[in-house]
Amino acid sequence: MVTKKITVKNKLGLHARAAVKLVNLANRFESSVKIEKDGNIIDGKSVLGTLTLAATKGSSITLRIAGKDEEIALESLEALINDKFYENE
Amino acid sequence: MKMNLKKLLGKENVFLDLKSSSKKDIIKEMIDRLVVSGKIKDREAALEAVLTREEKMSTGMENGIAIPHGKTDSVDQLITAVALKKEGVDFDSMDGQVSTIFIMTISPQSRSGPHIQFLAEVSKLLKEPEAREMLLAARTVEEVIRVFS
Repeated sequence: MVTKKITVKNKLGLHARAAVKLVNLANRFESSVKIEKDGNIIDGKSVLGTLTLAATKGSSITLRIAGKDEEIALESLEALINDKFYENE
Repeated sequence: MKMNLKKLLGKENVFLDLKSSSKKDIIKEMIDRLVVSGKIKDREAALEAVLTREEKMSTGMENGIAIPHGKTDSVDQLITAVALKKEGVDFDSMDGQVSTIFIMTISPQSRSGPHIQFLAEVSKLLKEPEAREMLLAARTVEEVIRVFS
């Protein structure tokens, strides 16, 4: 398993569109993707799960990825979050 | 911060049996009903906000849940609505299933915090299959509100 703590940087946080992008990307990988925030762990392949985190700008989330393609999955998801979900702000 | 869902949902914004059978009409119908109940003053602004957002990416999620929403300064606080369409409507959802449970939010441009918080609380609840079943089995507004309390 690989884990990484990441700060949400985009203005709107993990709002619906960002959550959909994250989940769509997570679903491309075989590995399981879990996201933790403040002790809550959710399935990163579920939009509803991801929305329950209410991760606003500046929140810290931890990705926990386990499986054959965990390295590339972590790299891709980290890039999406750090690139602010390709939003302008 | 925990949000009191029950406080945000009442007789005036829970709609049991939507009549419309297309995505656009469902959105219109929910906004029209919010106008009738006095929650929304500027129908056109709210409608445009939600439809514009919907064009960017569908809010049809998974497990029959859709969350159409928009931002407009024609409202000064978070407006919410919960509506059901038991037969389901094609909402261009992520998992390809028809949508049966509609959670709408209209919020002021500058304040997205309460909207994200509301969606988080609702999602927490609707992740449970039992909650979705109870909603779809509800025959009165009170029964719907009970699921959220």
